[in-house]
Amino acid sequence: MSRVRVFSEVQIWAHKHLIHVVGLLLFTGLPFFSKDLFGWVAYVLGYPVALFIGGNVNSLGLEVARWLHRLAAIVLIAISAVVFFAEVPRAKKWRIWPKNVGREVRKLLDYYVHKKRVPFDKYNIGQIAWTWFVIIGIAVMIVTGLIMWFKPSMELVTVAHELHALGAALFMIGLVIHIYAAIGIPEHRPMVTAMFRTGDLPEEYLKEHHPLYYEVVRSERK
Amino acid sequence: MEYASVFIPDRCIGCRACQTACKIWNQRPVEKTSFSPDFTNPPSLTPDSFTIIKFKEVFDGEVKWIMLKEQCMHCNDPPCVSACPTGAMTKTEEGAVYVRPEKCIGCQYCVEACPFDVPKYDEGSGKVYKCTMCIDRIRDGKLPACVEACPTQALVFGKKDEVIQKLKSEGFEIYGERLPNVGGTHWLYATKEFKGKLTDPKYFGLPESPAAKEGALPAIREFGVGVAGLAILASLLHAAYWRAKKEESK
Repeated sequence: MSRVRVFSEVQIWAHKHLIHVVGLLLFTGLPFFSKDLFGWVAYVLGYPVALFIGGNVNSLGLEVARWLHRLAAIVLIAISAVVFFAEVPRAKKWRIWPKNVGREVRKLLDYYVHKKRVPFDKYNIGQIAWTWFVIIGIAVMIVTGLIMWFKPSMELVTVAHELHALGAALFMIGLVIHIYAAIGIPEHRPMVTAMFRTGDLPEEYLKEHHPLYYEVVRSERK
Repeated sequence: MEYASVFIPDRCIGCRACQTACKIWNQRPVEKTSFSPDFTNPPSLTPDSFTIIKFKEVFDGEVKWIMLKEQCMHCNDPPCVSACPTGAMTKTEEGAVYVRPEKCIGCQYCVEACPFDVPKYDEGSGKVYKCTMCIDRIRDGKLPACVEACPTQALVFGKKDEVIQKLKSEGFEIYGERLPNVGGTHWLYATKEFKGKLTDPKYFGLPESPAAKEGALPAIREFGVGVAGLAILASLLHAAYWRAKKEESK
């Protein structure tokens, strides 16, 4: 069966490492986000450190969480830089520029609510919205995080803190939906395999789920 | 038992004995002074100056100097305590709000949250410092250091209810007994001479409604956790719905 390349090597590499980094950022950010619900994270991180150097377990845990968070942020900046330089030159081929939003939203609802077969392009409007949110969201999180780290002025820090917390909240919500749509729906598994391993999809799958993009691929082949 | 300290500007002569006593008791180092348009020195609270006397020149028919003592207000519902992720910022049953340095990681969330701009970050130690209300002295049956040092009785200390009742019976106007957002404070201001001027920006300029500067943060946290929880629930429900639809179409 012939296969169609849908993700580049850089996209596969970046997505894989984003999972590690965002996982670490989320885990280490949670005790600062809500000490009542996620204070236990500070204990998990602080207990082993306290065994060696002593001190208050909760405070040590938060100190460890803060430094791991900053370290992960540096890695995130590096990954973002690689993606930026590798992907921006081929921005025309991204197919994440939204067109006819109303119609696309209806198509999305038809697919997820009525389970109808609808003609999608390479990405549906939900995926496009998520991609843009990730691009803008990561930029905002990096900038506000750096402001909170280096504290140029407390007024700026207060605004950055609010935006950083809002970004974290939206990322948490978005990630739940993103992870569910990827692995919670069995029909989407070929896409998961493509994103994590091969980078390509069976032509038949593309024809069924993304017929508009399939047509583009076909015309490019001619 | 809740206690309160009161500053009575009518009686303050700006000698700054309170500032000195505070430094001595809390073993804070002296700081380099600087010229400023008034005699306030240091110009604002610092990690080493837990209290300062602000000198303000006002025109009220004639030019006069008024004094305002600044320090932690020891709020009933302290936003700094809510904001502190480590539990370093602590409120005691006496009403004192103080930092436990061994728990402080210098995140400065308290600095952000305080509506009175009180906690100050020390670059050297990487921790936040502020007035402790001399909780160690109070528990030892002593007066706060600043109150003990005041030569003009501009500072008064006692059980909160009794102090407020006494000042009211003497005809004083009181600031801090009840305040929106922070639920009142354990540092109060009382005056007969400057009635109606404690919150006047031209005079003492104490905030009428000291809102925590955390702003929307608590709401954002609740929104994030709540909606993420709902998204998990919705995903599980959709997974069941999707599979039911699949069975239907077979």
